[in-house]
Amino acid sequence: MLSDVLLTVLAPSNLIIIAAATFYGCFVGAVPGLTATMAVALLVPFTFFLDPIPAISAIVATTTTAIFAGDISGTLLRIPGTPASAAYVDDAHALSQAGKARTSLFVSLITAAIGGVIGVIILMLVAPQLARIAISFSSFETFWLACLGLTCAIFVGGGTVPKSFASLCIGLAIACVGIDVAVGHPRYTFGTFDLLDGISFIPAMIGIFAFSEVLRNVQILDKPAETIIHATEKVGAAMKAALAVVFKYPKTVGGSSVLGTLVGALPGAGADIAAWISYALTRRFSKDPEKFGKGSLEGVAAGGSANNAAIGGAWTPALVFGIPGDSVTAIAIGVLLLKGLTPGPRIFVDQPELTSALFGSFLVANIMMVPVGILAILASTFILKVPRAVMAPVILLFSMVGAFAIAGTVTAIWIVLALGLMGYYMEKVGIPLAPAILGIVLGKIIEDNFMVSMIKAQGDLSAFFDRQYSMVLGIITLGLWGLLVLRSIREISRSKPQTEG
Amino acid sequence: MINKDIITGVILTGAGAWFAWEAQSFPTMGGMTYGPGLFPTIAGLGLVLCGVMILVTGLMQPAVEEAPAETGPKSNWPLINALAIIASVVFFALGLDPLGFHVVAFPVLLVLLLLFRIIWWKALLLAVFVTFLVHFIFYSFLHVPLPWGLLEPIAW
Repeated sequence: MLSDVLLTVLAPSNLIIIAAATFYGCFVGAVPGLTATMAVALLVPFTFFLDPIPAISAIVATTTTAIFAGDISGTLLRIPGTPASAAYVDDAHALSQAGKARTSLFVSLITAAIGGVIGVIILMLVAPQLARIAISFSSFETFWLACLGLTCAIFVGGGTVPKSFASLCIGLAIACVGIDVAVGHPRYTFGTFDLLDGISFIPAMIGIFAFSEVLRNVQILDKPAETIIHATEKVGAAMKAALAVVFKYPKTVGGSSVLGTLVGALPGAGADIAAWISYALTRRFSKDPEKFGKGSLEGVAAGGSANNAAIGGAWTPALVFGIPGDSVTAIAIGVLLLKGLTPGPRIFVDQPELTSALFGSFLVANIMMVPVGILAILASTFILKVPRAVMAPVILLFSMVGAFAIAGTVTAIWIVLALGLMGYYMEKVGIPLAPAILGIVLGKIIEDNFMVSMIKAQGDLSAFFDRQYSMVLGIITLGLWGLLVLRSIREISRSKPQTEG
Repeated sequence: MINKDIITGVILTGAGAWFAWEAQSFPTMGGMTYGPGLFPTIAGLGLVLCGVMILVTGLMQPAVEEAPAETGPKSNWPLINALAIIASVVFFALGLDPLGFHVVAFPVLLVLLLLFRIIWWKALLLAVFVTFLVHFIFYSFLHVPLPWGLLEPIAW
C-alpha cells in the first residue's frame, strides 16, 4: 500500500500540478487585495477536470503558498496580501524599513513551511483516530455535529452576534433553494429549471470571493501607487539570519504551529484568526514584548507559522466529519462532492490509500513551497508592480468563464453576479462571511439528517438525545447557544453607554 | 448620513419575512408537522430576528458622520468603475449564448481596460491576448463547450 501511495504522490503529473499551483498561489497571494480563498475559487474550474488526488493537492498547494506570499506585500508595501498576514504586518514592514526585508521574508517562509508540516502531522495523527469514533455516527450525531459547526462559526467568526447569526441565516436560506429532500417540492426556484438542483456552490463561491473582490479593487484604482521598498540585502546573509531567528525561538515556532492547527480546526476560524491569536499569545509570553509591532522577528515567526499550520488544522473536521474548518476547505468539500466522494469517516475505512495520498501531497506542497518561495522573494518587486487596472478585468473574465465551465449554463454567471453583490454588501456593513459559507454547505446536511432522523423516529424530537454521542453533542451545542445569548445581551448593554457618551 | 445598520436591518427583516411567508405554502410530510417548509421558516424567522436586532442597535447609535477621509472634491470614478463591472457581467451573461464567447469577451475586456486608463494599444493587445488565452485554456485544453455564437461558421 505504501508504495502505491508514494507512486500516486510522487507521480510526475502530480508533482507538476503541485508546482504549478505553488507558483499560482505565490502570485495571487502576493498581489494585495487578492485572497487565498479567491485563488482557490478560481482554481476550481481547473481541478474539476483532474482526478481527486491532484485536484486536492492543487488546492492545498495554492492555499499554502498564497498564505505565505501574503507576507511579501505585507513586508514591502505594508498591505497584507491576504488577511492572514494582517496580524504582523507592522512588524514585517518595520523590518523592511530597517533594511531587513529579505531576512523577514525568509523567516516567514521557513516558519510557514515548519507550521505547515506540523499542521499536516497533527492532521495525520488525529484524523484517523477521530474517524474511528465518527464511524458509529448516525443521522442524529451528524445533525448535531453540523449544528455544532454552525454555532462554532458564529462564535469565532468575528462581528457582533446578530450580524454573525444573520450571516448564518442567509447561508441557510441559500441552502434551501432547490428541490427539498423530504417530499421533492421545488423551493424558491421561480420556475427556473437550473435552480431545481439548488444554487450551485462553486459559482456561489466565485461570486462571493472573486467577483466582490474585483468590485472592491476597481473602486480604488485612483489611489496613487504605494512605494515599494527595494530589498538590497545580500541573499545568503539574509537566509543565514533567518535560520538563526528560527533556531533562537524554537518554542515560539513550535507552540504557534500547534496553536494554529487547533484554531484552524474550529469551523469558521481560519488562518487569519490563528495568526492573530498566536501573535497575541507570543507577545504576552515574550522576553521583549515592547518590540512587537515595531519590527519583532519573533512576532513574524509566530504569525507566519500559525497561519500556515491552520490550513492543515482546517482539514481535520473537513475530512473526518465533512464539516469545513474555513472557506477554503468548504470549497474543497464542494470539489470532492462533485467528484462523487463524500468526505466523512467512511473514506478513512473504504479508501485509506486516498487519505494517505492526500497527507503525502500536503507534505510535498509544503516542501515545494520553499524553493518557489525563495524565487518569489527574489522577484517580489516585479510581482507587486502588476497594476490593478489589468488584474481586475482579467479576473472578472476568468470568474465568469470558470463558473460557466463548472455548471455548463449561463445561470451560473447570474449566480456569480447575485451572490457577488451580496458578499460585497455584507463585507461593507460588517456582516462576517464565514457563517454564511458554512450555512450554505451545512444547511443541506442539517436538513437531510434532520428529516431522515425524524422519519426514523416518527416525529419524536426527544430521539435527538437518546443515543450516547448524540446526547453529548446535543448538550454541547445547546450550551454554546446559551453562551451566545449571554454574549449578545452583553453586546447590547455595552452599546448603550456609547450612545450616552 | 443614515446609519448603515438601519438599512441592513430593514433589508434583512423584509427578506426574512418574505422567505418565511413563502415557506408556509409548502406541503407537509405525511402525518407530520415537519416538512419542506420547516427549514426555510427557521431561516426566514432567524433573519427577521437578526434584522430587528440590528435595526434596534442601529437606531440606538447616533448617526455617525462618515469620516472625511478623502479631502477635496469626491470623485465619481469608483462608482462608475463598479457599475461598469456589473454591466459587463450582465452583458456577458445575456450575450454568451446568442453572440458567442469571443464576441462578448473581447469587447468586455477592451472597454474595461480603456475605462481603467490603460493606453489604447496595450489595452487592445491585452484584450486579444486574454481572450485567446481563455479560449485556449478552457476550450482547447479543458474542453469546456464555450459557445461560438455568431462565429459558428469559423469554429475550429
